[in-house]
Amino acid sequence: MDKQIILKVKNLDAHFGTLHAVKNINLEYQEKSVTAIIGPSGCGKSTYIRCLNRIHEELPNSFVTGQVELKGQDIYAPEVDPVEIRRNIGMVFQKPTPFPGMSIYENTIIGLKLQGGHSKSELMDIAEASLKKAFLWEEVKDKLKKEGTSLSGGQQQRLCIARALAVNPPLLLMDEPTSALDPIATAKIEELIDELRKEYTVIIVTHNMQQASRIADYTSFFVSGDLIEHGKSELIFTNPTNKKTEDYITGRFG
Amino acid sequence: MNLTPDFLRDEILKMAALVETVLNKSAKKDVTLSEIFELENEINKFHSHLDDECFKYIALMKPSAKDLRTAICTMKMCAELERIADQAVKIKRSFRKLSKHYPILDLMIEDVERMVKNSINSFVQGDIKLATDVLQHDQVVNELNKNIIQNSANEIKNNTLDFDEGIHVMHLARNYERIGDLATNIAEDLIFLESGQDVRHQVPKQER
Repeated sequence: MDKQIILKVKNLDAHFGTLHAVKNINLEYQEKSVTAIIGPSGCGKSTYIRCLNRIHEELPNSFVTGQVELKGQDIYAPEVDPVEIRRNIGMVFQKPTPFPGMSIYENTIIGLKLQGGHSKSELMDIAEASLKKAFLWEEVKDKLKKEGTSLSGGQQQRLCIARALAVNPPLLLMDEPTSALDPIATAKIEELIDELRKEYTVIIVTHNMQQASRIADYTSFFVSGDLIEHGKSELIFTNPTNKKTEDYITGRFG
Repeated sequence: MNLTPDFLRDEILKMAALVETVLNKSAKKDVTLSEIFELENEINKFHSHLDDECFKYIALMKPSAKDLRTAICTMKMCAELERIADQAVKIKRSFRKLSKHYPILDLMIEDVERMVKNSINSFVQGDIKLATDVLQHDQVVNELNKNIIQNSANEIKNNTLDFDEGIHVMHLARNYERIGDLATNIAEDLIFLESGQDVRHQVPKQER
């Protein structure tokens, strides 16, 4: 059962002023798969996924070259509106980012509200479905009017995932989504990601190699902006082809 | 991903069922050697496949505590089961060469098959008591082996048993005794899995 390629990254370079942070990356991603990006601090892994929904270029003195084809459409083509891309490809960050002053319900459907064109009952249905997919519904269904920031850290992170899922994203990006969470909250998010792979394509940056090996179908290893190795996690973590990868995953380098 | 301790358990139990079958069939007259080979081949495939799954499970899931013991015990059990199947092939070969029935072997066959069954059941049920029974029963089987070898040797000396025939009877006793040891290893693995205790090598070897 061959899965379709949903995302093709071609000759992607990203710069931060004078720093060449991501160097000539060429990768393809299958739909409904989880890919982890690992590598030492400053290796460009966060910058790389920020290129995949066009938020890297928001930073001062930053620019990106190359192509990122999502379902055949280059998101860097001149006619593409970057705001539209950012709205449709959600990103979950290290620290949960529920919008303050907004209820749990409003936080979930904010993306759809900005898109416009949804009736109240549609919004409610989608909010419920998204919160269910994010394993949060049972915990919040009786307090949807409460502020999103009133939830625990792990719940807030799942709220952010629900918010990203509500717009039915073609791709879900996560930048160290569990590094601020305790082991129980982390286990819940990992379980959630395992469930999400049935419907979504997930790319996750993680510092935690165990996490990468547990949840990811594929793993990419970056060092200093270069992609050192990319492959099935079961190969990367059992028999990597590159010495640097071997040294990194066994804790001898990085 | 289906790399879970439950998955490993389910797979090893499928393999164990095949091993019980091959062991039982190897002593049956109406079963051909090629039937035994077929089963043994299937068991070998399980051996490679399960080893690989355990390896991947440890590498990818980084299990701890009982999950880690499950992975390690599954790997070890897998090897013991595969060796039982190898013994079954040898048993079938020896049986084919015997010209008549030797009731003295029946008791040993029954005992060893029960040891294998109980060691597997102790794994299924997480039953340390049953595993301990297997360990104790190994001594009975060792005694039976000694008796059969002694008797056969005596009968050969007294010319009441054909030399080749006697050698095959002795081989069979030795093969079954070996299977008893392997069942004992499985029972020891189970005790380690359930309790974390290593009960091996606790009785000092006696000088003969």
